[in-house]
Amino acid sequence: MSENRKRILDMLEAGKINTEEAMKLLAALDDVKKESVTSKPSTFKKYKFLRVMVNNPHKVGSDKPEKVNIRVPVALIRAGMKFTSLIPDDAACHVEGALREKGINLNLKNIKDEDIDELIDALREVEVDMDGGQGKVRIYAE
Amino acid sequence: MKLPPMLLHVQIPIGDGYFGLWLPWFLVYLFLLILTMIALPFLIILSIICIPFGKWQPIVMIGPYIWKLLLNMKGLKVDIQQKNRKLMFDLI
Repeated sequence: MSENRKRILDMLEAGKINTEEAMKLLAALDDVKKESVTSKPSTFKKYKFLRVMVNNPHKVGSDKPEKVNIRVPVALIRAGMKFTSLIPDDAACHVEGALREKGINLNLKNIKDEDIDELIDALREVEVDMDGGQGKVRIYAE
Repeated sequence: MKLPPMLLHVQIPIGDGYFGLWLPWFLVYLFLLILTMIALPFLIILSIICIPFGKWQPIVMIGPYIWKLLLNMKGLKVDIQQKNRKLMFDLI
């Protein structure tokens, strides 16, 4: 039994509150408990790879690639992102300023693992048509 | 424990087809380890010189970051196909 629940029952036993008030307090306590469970931060699914697939049958016969399949480990993306902390402060300021002008608010020197998770989660299923729908670029996480 | 990539599978286009090669990627680590050992004293001296300018951190951290990058490359695969020709590398 939780501490708060016990306190309410003690108050009821001592006659400080009546049964109705106790019921109300217990119901309010339940609501708070439910809210705290639902408002827990969402955990992203742990993806291992990010895959980029280009299928361009329109290019059959030409000297351009028909199929491209790239698989990038998410751990490699994370390790690569660490390099942003090595960017000199003045260069980072220039890049961040240019990005801000384009409407992207990104702190280059402070990219966290959660930010990468969020990015990969956003990219987990993206499909782009090209060459008037004859070719497809598919990006997904697995 | 997650192991770093040990082998590199390469497929190189030749003529109308391609040929495959399995390369011992683990030898890269030996080579880089020797290179790191040689470069380490110079990096330490350079970072000490750079302390007054506040630029020592990138010099010290570049080595560990490159190693981390190499050790996390397992599973990286690039496969480009055109008819029967194929260019691929896969770190296993």
